[in-house]
Amino acid sequence: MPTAVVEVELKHRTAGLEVPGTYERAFVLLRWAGRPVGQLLLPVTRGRVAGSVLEEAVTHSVGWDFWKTWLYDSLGWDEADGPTPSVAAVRPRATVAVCTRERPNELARCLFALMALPDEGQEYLVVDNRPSTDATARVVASYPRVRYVRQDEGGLDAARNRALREARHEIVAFTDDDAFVDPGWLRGLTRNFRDPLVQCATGLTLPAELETDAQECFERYAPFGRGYARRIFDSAERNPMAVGPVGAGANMAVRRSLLETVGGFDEALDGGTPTRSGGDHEMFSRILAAGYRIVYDPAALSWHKHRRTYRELTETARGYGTGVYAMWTRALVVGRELSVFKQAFAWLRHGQIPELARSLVPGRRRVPLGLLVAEFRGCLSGPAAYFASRRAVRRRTPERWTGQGSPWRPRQRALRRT
Amino acid sequence: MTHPDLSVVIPTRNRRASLERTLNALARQRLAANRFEAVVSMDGADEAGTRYLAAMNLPYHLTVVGSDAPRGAAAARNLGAASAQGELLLFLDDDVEADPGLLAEHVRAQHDGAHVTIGYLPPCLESGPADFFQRALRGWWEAMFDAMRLPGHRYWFRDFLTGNCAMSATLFERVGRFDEDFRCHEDYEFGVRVVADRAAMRFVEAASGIHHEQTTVSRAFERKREEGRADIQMLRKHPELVPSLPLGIFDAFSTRMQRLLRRLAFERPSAGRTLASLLARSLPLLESGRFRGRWMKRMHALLSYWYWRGITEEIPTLAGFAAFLRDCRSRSGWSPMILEVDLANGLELVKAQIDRRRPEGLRVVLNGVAVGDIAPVPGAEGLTGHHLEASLARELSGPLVAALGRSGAIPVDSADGAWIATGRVPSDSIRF
Repeated sequence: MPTAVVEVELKHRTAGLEVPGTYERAFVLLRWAGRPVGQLLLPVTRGRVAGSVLEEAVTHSVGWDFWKTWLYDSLGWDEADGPTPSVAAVRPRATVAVCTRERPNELARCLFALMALPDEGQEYLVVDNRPSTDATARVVASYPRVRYVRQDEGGLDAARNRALREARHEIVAFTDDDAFVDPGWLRGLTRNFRDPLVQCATGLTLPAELETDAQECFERYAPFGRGYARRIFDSAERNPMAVGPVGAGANMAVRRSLLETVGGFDEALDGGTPTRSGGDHEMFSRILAAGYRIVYDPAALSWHKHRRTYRELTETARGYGTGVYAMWTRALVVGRELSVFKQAFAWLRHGQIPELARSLVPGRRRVPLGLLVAEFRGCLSGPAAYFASRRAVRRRTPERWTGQGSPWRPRQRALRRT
Repeated sequence: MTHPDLSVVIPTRNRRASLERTLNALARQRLAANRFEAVVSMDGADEAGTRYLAAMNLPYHLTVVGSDAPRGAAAARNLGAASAQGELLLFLDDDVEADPGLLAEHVRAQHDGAHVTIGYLPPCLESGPADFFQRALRGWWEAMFDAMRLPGHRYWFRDFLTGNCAMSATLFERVGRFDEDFRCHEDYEFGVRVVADRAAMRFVEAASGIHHEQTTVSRAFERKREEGRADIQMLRKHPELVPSLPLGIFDAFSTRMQRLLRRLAFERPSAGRTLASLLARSLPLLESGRFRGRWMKRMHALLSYWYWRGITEEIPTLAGFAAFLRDCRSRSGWSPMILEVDLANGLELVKAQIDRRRPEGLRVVLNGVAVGDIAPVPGAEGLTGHHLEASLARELSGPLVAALGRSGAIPVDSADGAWIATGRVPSDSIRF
């Protein structure tokens, strides 16, 4: 059933909610003073959600995330900065980077939303990854504030590394080309970098539309969102291999100095390579393993347009399985992380198998069996995909493989010592 | 020569290359070279070193003083301070490479009203593999600065780090200079007296320098042992500090392994040494298997063991230690002032009240409904309104919302840890 995606600002709210279009259901994002605090699924009657229905649903669903946001608003306190306006609220400047490939319509929507960001001295960069036409270049040409860079080799991670090298500012914020950002997005990310140990910040990504069953299915299967509470991930408290809750590369910011401190993204992983995904999670994992921190901040909100057809969704599920196992293979082979076996087993036992069991029972099915089978097949091909991809990267850039360790793992050289 | 504004006092011992790097970094400061001087205080005679320093070509005035026999860092700093001509004293360790803005930022913060400014020292891990220990070391240093960086941080004696700090020469004399009996933690001991003097400490992140940390695992254990001894010394001088030192909270926060190691340190020293040595040898194995959690636990257990080894050198038996603690408690004349404040009077009024009285502890109520406390901490500065604000946002946020619910201001019930709305969710924030 198509579901509308709407927002409600709870502060100074009016009765009821107008839902344009002919929907029977609405996914409602709740905000307080602009900050996301929760979400609801509500029935829509004749283009409207009645005031009483909304109030009742809000009353029953709000929890600590809401009350804490409400309290901070009452106290005039900012979670990341302290009392607002903060004494030392000098926020670092950012480069907003979009890595894209042959999706001119989505890219145009993405850039349009980026132009609505308040000006905090940021620059914009589009990395056109292995283009086969000049469609992307033409879209970017119509935005004079956006710089265009062409990356002819490699996949998504190679494009990300190129963005890191081309960026002129300290922080590089990435958004997917099929996502569009909230006006408060960039500030929501950059405000978390006051702590010098924070190397990465991730944000909340919600579905831009839920028109098709496949999109709703994706939102149930692998939502990008990680909840409404701000969290700090530190390797002292968390196994670096367990990076599921950290966030997604569709909405993240890193320090440009990542290239030196932790190394760049592993170009054997993620979209455009045989491994299909996993480059972002592998980076999160490496940042934590190196002793740094990652902050998940729901104030950095963006909206992602999920794939519309079931066939694309199955491909995504397979890519996801491949990416996870490829990432673990890399962690094992390069990082010598023996705990990947435990991770794989835990996922199988507590994640994949129960989900499979649920999908076999018609009443309790959350995700179609086909998706899970595709994901599982992806997992099985993950390790081989990683090695094939790595060989391809080596062939492509032999000058970087001097036996001294690859450029994206400068610290791993230490592992070779006897 | 007219008096310089600032004197940089650098105690040093047998670290010529490091000292040279420090002095060269001072030659690249934004602060004009005629406004400051450097005083190198050599701990123990070093003829060759003195001549070498005299031959260095530096744009600022350099004085070299020294004692004949090594007497420790505290004595070296006192000697340096005594020979300093500047109004402002800046203590810098000889392994700190100052960033170009370090001196200027300290001066600026001092003019802004801070009495004791503490600069930032991001640790620079020496070239070589960034292994677990290096990362843990960086984590410990950064945790210290992290706390100071938080808005509304309540400074205490353990924030005072002599590696990069500044204060006026008058304040230094008034507080009473470093206690030369302390070979370790002389900075914490000085910090206790700074707090007692009600001097305002402030962390100045912009006043940064690279700290060329040379610590190894065995050096860290040695250092922990010295700290154990120093803490007993500290309690002899300031008995009220028991709850603020690791030995005072050990029983509440220790693991089984830590308690075992402590018992062995007191009762069976040789068995303790054997066990500790085995555990230490197992660390590289844990590291190659990437068992981070286990490695960290074992490292903490070993550090705890060495800390207690230091204590056993001052007090050989567990019974003796318990008696010592009892004695400290009875000798402690500390009676903290606890102020009760009611948020219903308005947050600004309450903050002003606290700023006037500077209590050691706070009891916070809302219209008679209890919210929570800010406990008195021996060795920590008196509370201000800003501390209350920070506490309300952090530790007391839950209790505050619960109290607002109980007092009827907002429709929330926090029984059993679930925040259940009992009525229409507010559509506006409230003014405190």
